[in-house]
Amino acid sequence: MSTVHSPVTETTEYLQAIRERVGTIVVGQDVVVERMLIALLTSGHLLLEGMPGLAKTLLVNTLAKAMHLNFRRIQFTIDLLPSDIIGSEILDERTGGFRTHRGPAFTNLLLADEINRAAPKVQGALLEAMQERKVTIGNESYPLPTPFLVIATQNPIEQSGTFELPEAQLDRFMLCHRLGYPTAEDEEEILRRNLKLGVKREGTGAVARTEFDLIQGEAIGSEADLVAAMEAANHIHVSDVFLKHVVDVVERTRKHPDLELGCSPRAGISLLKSSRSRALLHGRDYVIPEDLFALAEDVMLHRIRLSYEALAEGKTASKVLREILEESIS
Amino acid sequence: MNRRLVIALLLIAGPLPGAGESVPTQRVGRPLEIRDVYIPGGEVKPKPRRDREPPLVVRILAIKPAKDGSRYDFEVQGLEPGRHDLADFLEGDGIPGIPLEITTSLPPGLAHPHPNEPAVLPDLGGYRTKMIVLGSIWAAGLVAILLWRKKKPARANDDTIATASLADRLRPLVSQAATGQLSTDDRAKLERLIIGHWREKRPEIAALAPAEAMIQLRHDTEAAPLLRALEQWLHSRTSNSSAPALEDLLAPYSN
Repeated sequence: MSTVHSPVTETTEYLQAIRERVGTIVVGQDVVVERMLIALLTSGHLLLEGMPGLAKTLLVNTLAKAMHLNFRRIQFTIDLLPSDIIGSEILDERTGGFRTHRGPAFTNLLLADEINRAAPKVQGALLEAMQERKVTIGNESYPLPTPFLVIATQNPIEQSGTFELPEAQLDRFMLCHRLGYPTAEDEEEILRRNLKLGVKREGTGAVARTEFDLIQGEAIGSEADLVAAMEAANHIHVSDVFLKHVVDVVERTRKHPDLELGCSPRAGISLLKSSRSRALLHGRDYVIPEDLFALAEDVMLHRIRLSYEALAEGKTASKVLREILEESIS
Repeated sequence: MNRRLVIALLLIAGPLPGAGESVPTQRVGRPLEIRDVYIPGGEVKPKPRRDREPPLVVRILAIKPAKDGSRYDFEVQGLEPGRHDLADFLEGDGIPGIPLEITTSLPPGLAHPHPNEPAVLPDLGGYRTKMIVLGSIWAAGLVAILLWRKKKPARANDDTIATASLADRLRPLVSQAATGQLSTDDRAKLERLIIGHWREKRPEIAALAPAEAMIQLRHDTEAAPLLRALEQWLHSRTSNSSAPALEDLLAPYSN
């Protein structure tokens, strides 16, 4: 068995407690919680692809509460402006001067709902903030709070009236996780919990309770615990052999005949960083091939593009990536 | 005085009838216009040319009505020298003779060139033969395209295709590992081949997605201890790379 050092155990327990807390509110989305924590620990950003109604907002809200982080949500629409995200200078009539109004980007966890519905300049403004971790309002630059994590969502089916994110911007998302529907057992549990929600009295009236009303309780740990977890993830050992595995898989995407666009070096870096965080979440102080294979789809799939011939033959990027991973271990 | 009178009368009277009557003349190939030819009766028209035999090409330029007939302007092109009668080349009743002459500057008795005759291609076979040949060419092209398409991915993947079996590739790496001579590249290859070895041994796990297969293999009763020990050796900070430990670890893959 692996040699587990005490700091790793403590951090793993802290992260496990967060996962359990989120699990009490959201059912059957443990992998997504893991991906969110990986993104948070590595200062990456996460793109969630999934149908509406899969508790994405609830998930992010619960995680933010559990970790004592600020949370804001922006619903992206066609008429959204960059200033609606980053803020703007507004005229103060009392003083006669301009004052800065900071937008919702000034938070720890930002949920960019349906990011592909906004115009490219709005997407560009957010993605620039994600990359540089600061925004410019007027002539002044303002650093964004730390940690700063953007969790963007997009619907994979309904594409009319949307602006598809170009590859260069997709590359800025460290992970792109495809949310699936819950299993039959999980769905049953969701329904059972929903039956127990009841009604909330407000003054003389009442309103039906939702899962959001269940988000209560003290935050687990503090900001210092999160910082310690980030540092612990940064100290996870990466062997030379693991580096070779990463390079091998990334190179295969560049040589595969069905791919027009292979993975960038940023994909390799993301694989390394996210593998470290996953190892920490699983209580190891070193990364193993399982981390690489578990994260390969989320890190690489949105960074590769099929060739025209492969598309004409009915192949999908997912199938090609699976071929690549299988070839690497055969 | 009398002599002057005679000359004046002659000038006023003009030429005597029949004395200056001339036949219209033109060179071969040159157009000859004959105007105001009165032809009694119904309208006439040139006889159609069925071949290149008729020596004259006749066109009617204009038809002007006249009493009991019409006046015609003709354009004639002579192809053969000699005297011809234009009436022979017109269709209609009661056409009077219209003589004309086509001249040439070439000496008489000039030999005509042989007529051009279309060459006959050798017959390569009937319709059935032609269809069989065309069909064979089409089928051969189709087979060539299919073969080319089948070979293409193989060519692109030449460097990734295993020429030897997994066990054959694994054996030398295992023996090198036992002697401690493996480079980092070879150790990475060794680990990938060992994972491949276990996937081969567990077809039900190999059918899963690679990520899920890895998790299942690490929980397999037979494979898990060996894979975890391998991970410990290759990835951990505190790996035990002593010869006996490696020998034990790699023993299942030596055969």
